[in-house]
Amino acid sequence: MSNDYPSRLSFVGTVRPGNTIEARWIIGHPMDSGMRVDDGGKRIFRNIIDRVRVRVNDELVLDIEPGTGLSANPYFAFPLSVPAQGGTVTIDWRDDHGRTGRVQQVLPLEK
Amino acid sequence: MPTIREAVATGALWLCLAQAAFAQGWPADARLSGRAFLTPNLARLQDDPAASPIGLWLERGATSWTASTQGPSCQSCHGAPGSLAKGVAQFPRLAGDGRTLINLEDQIRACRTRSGRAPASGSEDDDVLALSAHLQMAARGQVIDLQPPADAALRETWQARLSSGAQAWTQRVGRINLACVHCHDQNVGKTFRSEVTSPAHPTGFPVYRMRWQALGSIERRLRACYSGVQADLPKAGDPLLRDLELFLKVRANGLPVDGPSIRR
Repeated sequence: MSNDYPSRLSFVGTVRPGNTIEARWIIGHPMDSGMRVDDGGKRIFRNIIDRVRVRVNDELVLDIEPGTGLSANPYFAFPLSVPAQGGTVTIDWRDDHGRTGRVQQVLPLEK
Repeated sequence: MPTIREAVATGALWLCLAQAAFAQGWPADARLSGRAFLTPNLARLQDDPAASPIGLWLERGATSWTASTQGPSCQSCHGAPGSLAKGVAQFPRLAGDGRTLINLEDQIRACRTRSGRAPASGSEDDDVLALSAHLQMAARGQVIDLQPPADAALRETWQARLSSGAQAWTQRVGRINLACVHCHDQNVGKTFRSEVTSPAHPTGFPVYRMRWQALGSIERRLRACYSGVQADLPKAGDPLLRDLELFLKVRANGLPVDGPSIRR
């Protein structure tokens, strides 16, 4: 598992059990579409994030299969319901080169 | 039946009128940062730390600033980046040899080499850009302040480089046969196809350009301009680019630094 690509996960809204908040995730990935060539004229192989799975406390809440239409440094924003006892949000991703990464963050519960 | 030439001419006339009408919505002040020309959406993106891609570089810059895996960290000599804020707004300046003009990225590259880090890969190295963004962020609000050196010999060199930059600013180049001055001085605030022409005050570098999908230095931006008018591209690190940057910065003296920023 590597985390070469920088990424950040943040939550917007009041993190309270039962509330729906917005999770925002951005990752610095090149998302090469496979259509470009480098300065020497050689084709740059396709390398996009092709699978993103979001889990809250081991429960799969979102499963994305991004395509080549996404730009570099993709940004995802999605609603998330905060479970009763709070918990951890885990994002696993995988790209065409077989790299995988995991971003994990505890939901900062507000009283 | 109108000939093709007539049709094109009429079309061009309407286009010009349409552009003139459009142009009124944009500021035409010659002393504005490029930020004033952003669409509201992009301005919002730049201000949102969660969504702005610049944050990725800023985080990397902050990590790199304190990292001491290869040689001493930046922090061990310079302290917090804020201590350099004044200096950041004074680049480009003459290097120690009294002849070479260096900009902030050159200085970072030289500093990295001196302190034993792996050499930067090319002119748009991510780590160099990240450190540059980190420093610019700390220098936000500082006023661009370029003054000729006190020493007479150095001042003469500096003045010569400034003149060379001014020359580049007014020299027509490329197949399009335009000089910088034709758009960024005489037609500020008007649209050039879908682009609004800004007065080219370099306050917001490094910039995350949507077209590049990456952070880029002022050098990359200037080279993109040469490419835009279909001129011979100056090589990365060409002294001409530093001269032009010097001229632009002197021209922007007094404007606050507001980088790193997002551009189309």
